[in-house]
Amino acid sequence: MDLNEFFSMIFEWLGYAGTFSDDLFQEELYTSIGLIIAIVSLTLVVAFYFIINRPSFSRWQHWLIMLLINFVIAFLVGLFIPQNIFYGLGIDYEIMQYVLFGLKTGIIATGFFIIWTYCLKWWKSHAKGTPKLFFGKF
Amino acid sequence: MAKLYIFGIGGTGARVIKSLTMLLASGVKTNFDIVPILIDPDSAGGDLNRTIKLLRDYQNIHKTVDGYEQNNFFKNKISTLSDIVTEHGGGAKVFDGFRFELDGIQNDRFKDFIDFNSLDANNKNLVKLLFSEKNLDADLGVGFKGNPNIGSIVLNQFTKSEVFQSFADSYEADDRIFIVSSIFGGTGAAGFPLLLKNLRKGKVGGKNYEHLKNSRIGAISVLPYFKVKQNVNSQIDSHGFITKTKAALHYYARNISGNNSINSLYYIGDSAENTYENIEGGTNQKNDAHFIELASALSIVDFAHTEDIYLETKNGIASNPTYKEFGTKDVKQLSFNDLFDGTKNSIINNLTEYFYFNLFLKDKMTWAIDKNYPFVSEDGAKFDANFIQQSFYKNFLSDFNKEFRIWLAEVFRNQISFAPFAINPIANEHNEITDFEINTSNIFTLTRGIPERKNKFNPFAKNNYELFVSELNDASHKLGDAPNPQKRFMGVFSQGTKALVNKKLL
Repeated sequence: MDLNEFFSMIFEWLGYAGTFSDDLFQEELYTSIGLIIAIVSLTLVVAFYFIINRPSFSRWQHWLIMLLINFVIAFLVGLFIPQNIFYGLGIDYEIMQYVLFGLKTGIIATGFFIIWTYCLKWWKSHAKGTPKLFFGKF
Repeated sequence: MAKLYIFGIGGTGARVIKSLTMLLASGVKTNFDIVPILIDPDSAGGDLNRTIKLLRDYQNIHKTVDGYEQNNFFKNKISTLSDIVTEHGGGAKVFDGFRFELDGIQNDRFKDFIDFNSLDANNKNLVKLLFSEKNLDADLGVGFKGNPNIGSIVLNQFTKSEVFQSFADSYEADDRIFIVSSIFGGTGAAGFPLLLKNLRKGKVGGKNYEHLKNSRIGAISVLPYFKVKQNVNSQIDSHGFITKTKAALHYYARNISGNNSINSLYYIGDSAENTYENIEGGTNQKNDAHFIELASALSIVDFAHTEDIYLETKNGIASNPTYKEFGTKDVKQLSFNDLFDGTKNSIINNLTEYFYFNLFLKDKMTWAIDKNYPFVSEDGAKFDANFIQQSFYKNFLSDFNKEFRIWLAEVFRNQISFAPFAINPIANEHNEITDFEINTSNIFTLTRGIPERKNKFNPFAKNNYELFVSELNDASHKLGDAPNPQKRFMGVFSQGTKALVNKKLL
């Protein structure tokens, strides 16, 4: 399975949008958008735990702010990148298609953010252990 | 570990041992197991009972965190004589505490104690030559009220007691003895030469104790450092302090320094400008802690660190007796910088670290728990609401820390003022200090005379309690878990405050 298939599986798991989805797959936009949001999420998680790394910005509310920033960036990525590419190719879709894809991208980026969080929140940091979303230390 | 028996005689003895306890709590070490023995006829004495409560809290904390190398606070062991006797497998009847109770003085007048009424006429007349009517009618339950002639009779009982016997039995060759007394009162002035004479005899209960006879003995004799208010109804009159001191010094010149019976004798005093309430004894005899007592406690530390070679004794006579005095720069309010280097270096790190530890627990511990910072929850046992409700924190450490703050505020308020930290003492309606507060938002400006070290090139540098928490988080991560939550707690704060103080101040 190549990256395009992998990311398309994730995006389309949240909803298949017919030709819009096919065109995204065709232009390999799933790969580029997927990689962008994975890297942006990782950057924000690293920034929260190891660059900002302050006791005064270490609680779950602060983590949530970072998560929302990540969501907004991902939403904008999902909204504008396909629009620009498709516009260049002369493909026209309803604006709502792009908005819905932006929301999907935001949701997936949130997933990435949580995954990166649980990979890195155990390391030495002033935000170590933040957040606890499930039970005990998790 | 070798033991250092400290005889604290009278109110001054208790107050000096209190200051020593504060120093030990902050991490000052003696390399001896400290065994305080408080000798004071005034069983209700406010100063005495405050000291005993403090020592008990110290012991409870020390026992809980003992053996954990990462912790520097409460490191030096303090034992009761009873603990030592038990360790040696002895079963003698020893008081289970720090204070030796003199028998036959409770509710007794001095004349009853010496059985005056049963004496024949000639002996009665002899006694009347040596003691005034006021002396004979003196209530012994509140001490000797500045009368060493009474004290020397009554305190003889100590050296004939089972406690003294147990002390002699438990005394070993490497142990040392230190005697703390004031020279201008009653109990201390009488007790010190008496005790020293009996130690140097090396004979207790008919048995010979060579170790005891040739023991390494140090003492501090505290010269007048306060006055008491004039009160016609009180037998204590500070006008006599200097006269009594001179008389006692004459006696010491012949019987202590004159015959080389002591290895190290420390003298300390002050110009006595501060005036205390004239209380003859009992629960109301509570005087503010004084820098002289802290400096006296440092003499114990100095003695403990003196090498054996300088403390040799042969046949009950010190080979190289030394006599030491203490001085500071001539200011009314002392900061660390007004102490001479040796003194300053021996306490500045420990007291500053403990001060910040204390401040954090007082003002920020519940806040830190609420914020759930990594040091309270991530690297081992949690310090949560349940932890601060347990007796270690709630009863022992909090009580001790409050006493530490009161002590610090008292030495700050007293004359001469020892004010290493910029604090504001808080007093109740009886003018007794109950705590202190700080009037700054920048905690690193609190150490007087020590400028805060700032990183001018980093506008985002952590500061204040954020930096404090940051250092605690780092210490917690480095330490990981510990054998019990209390050890981890003390280790995190010990290492955290050390890093903090090193980074910002010293």
